[in-house]
Amino acid sequence: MVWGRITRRAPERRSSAFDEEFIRKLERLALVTRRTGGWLAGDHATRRQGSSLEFADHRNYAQGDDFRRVDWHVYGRLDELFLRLTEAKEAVTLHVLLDTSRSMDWGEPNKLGYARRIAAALAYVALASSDRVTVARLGTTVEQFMAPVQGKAHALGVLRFLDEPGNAAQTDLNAALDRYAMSRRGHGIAVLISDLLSPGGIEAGLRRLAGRGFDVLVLHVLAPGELTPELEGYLRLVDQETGETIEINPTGTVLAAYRRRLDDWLTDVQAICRRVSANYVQFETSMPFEDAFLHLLHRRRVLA
Amino acid sequence: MSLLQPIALFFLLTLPLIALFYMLRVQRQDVIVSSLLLWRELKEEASERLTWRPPVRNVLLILQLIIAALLAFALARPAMLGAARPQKNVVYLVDASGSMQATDIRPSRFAEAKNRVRAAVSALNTDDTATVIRVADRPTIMGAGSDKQLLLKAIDDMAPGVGGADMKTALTIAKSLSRSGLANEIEIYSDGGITGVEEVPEIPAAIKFNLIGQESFNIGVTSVSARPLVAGGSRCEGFARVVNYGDRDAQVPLSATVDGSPIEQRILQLPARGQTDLWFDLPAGARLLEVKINPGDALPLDDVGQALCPRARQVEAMLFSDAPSTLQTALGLLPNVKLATSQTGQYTPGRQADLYIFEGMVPERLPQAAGNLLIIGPRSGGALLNLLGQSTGGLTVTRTDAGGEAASVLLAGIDAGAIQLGRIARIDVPEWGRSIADTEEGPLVVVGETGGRRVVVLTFDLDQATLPQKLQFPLLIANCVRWLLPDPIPATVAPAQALVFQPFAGVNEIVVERPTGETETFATRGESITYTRTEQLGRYRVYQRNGTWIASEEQFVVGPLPAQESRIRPNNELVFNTVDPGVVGLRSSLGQEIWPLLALLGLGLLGVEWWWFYCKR
Repeated sequence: MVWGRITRRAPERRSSAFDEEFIRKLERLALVTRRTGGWLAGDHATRRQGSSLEFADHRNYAQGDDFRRVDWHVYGRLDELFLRLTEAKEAVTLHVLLDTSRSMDWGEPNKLGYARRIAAALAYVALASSDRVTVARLGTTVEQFMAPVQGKAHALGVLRFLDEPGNAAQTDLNAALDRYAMSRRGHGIAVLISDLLSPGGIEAGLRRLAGRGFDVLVLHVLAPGELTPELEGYLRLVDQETGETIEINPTGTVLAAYRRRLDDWLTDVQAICRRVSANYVQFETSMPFEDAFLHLLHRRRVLA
Repeated sequence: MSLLQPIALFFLLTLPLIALFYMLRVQRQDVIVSSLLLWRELKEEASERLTWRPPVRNVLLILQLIIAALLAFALARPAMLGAARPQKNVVYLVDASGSMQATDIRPSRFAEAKNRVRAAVSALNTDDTATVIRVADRPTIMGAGSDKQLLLKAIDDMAPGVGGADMKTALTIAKSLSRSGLANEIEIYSDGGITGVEEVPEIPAAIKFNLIGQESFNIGVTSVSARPLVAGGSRCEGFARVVNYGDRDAQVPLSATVDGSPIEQRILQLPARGQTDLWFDLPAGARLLEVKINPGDALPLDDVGQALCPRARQVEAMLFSDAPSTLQTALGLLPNVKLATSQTGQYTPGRQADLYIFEGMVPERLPQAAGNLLIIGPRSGGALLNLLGQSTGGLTVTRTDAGGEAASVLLAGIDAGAIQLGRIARIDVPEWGRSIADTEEGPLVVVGETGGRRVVVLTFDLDQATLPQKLQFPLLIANCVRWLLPDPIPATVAPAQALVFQPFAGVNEIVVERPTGETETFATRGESITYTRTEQLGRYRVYQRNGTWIASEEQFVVGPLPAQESRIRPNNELVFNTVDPGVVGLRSSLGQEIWPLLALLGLGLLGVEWWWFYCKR
């Protein structure tokens, strides 16, 4: 497959969130990322012996060692046999955990669409860097996931998976993260993309994830209507997930109280992330997608 | 502007009620949020148990208040005041004569007149009044008042006629309405073919003449008739007159038929404003002569004329008398009476006749046939009378009763005072009859109907009275025969002319078959029927019957169109004698009511409210 020319297919159910223009953006982002050394703070190096060309060290030859690894330049100088040691590169698995509950399918711009784009960009860049990528859709549990893939050839498949509509009605991130953590080995980076509006909270799930060895990154996606709601009149608010209603009269006092409550909640979320050693980045869907991704990259470098 | 029903403004009280209802009933708008996670904790301070709210700016509330106000205002019936002017009370005179059926104005002059009157009535204000009069041979008030719907229906119900237009009488009616303050304007819709209007003096109203008609060219059959060649004969000769009213010579195809069979076809050469008279020898037994032309002009109504050959009705009379000479002489003077004479002893009930005359006797068994009876000087009661005896002589007529149809016919021209009587038969007046002339010793002339036949009883003895020697005796006998046997219907009747049908004895129904085939039935118990529906040209048939028994069948023809109606030239030079009606008080006239506009506006706002509530949300 030749990147840069995408074979178009007629949409099966609905129009795709990932059109040709978006794919070109992903290409540009991947290029930028590689030039800046990769979004994952460089390749993970290990002192384990590997078969790469990167020189690491020498050691004395011991009987039974592979003669092809003898450094003959050193033998010529020192008349002693030394083995040439090289660095072994370890492939990183990127776990993209996308919250597809109904609360995500809200907002102008839509949070779920925005989150899909973030997830797609992360996956694409990782695949372009020869990292493994796996994607899961979360709701009250792990609703769907795909097997890890590696290489840019799988980028389209990942995008297709991300583009499929979610069927999760409600949110229970604790249960979903717990389940995911227990079903995977703790390698790689787990990126949770969610609005974190989980009635049961998120700390237990994040703690489980971090405890299983994942490097956790929380991307908190919120819509402008949640950050600064513009409501007036005599209203009946309806929860999109549960259908529960409350009647309010959103006076200035009430809205100010909401903002205080929101600030408190955001503070709590960030504190939770710190406690579980997870990185936290907040996104507002009104921010242009490319700016959001570059901001993420910058934050990632700072954090690294 | 004025309000015709100001009390309806009471409904404006619904406006504060609507606002109050709005204030008490809190309507909340549903808003879907991603999650109530953060709102839930604000529920206590965010919710309020509202029992009332001030009517804040709300589009639906405002719309509903406007709609309620519009409806209340519409119910109050606002009307725009017109300029101050006298109230209009208009009399519309519509010419319904035969010339108004000319088609130079499509579909016809009469239809055009109706359309114009309809438009004039529609343009009247609410408080104006109108009277619509159809002017034919007899003017008829079709409708009056201020109800436009009734007036328009009256106009629609008007039909054209085939006779003339008595505009003089119609103007007289309009003048009387003006004098009584019921009319201040008179509008005439006519082609001007009317006469006598200048003879109506001092009409206290403004008269507006609306001329309808353009064409003057017309050729018509103005006269058709048929008469016996010899009095009482069976062969007739026919006559027809064709007149060219136009200003140019014309050639007109003409055809004449007798009972449907053609007798003549030719092309008539008619000079401008000239006429041609035609004579036809009709075959024996001919009944209906029809003359038809085809000039292709604007009035086809006068292109056909019909005439019936008159038939003298022969009366079969049977005289039973032992000294018949006097009666034979009197009856012989009647041209349509065919008399047979027998001795009284030779009477038998089976003898057939239309009229039985008994002198000096009343049979014990009346004739089987339904013929009528004339009894003179009875010497026995027989089956009809209760004979009390014979009177002494020297009697005179002491009383006559000219009331009623029978008396008016029987005593017409009779000088009862000059009659000197000898012996008379003294009888009781029977239940079936009544006395129309009395003497000192009892009734002289008794008339009535019994057993389905008419009966006249003359109680005086012919030998004893002076009457037979006087000229009044044949007259009396002729009167008796005339009453006992009704006059035939005239063969030709002018359009719109009334006819009187005299029923034969024993008849209880008279049926009239019109030229279109439509029949009308009139019940009778011997009284005459006056028939006025002769507005159709053509042949009519008249049947007199009792159940399945047909007593007589006669025919008559209505037509042709009167000559003055064939002259269709429009005439705008009529003179009316009007006088100033005097100062009439001015008052503002109520113009157009505007409630329909308000109701429509309210309906439109209702649609906007629906759109706002359902679609915009």
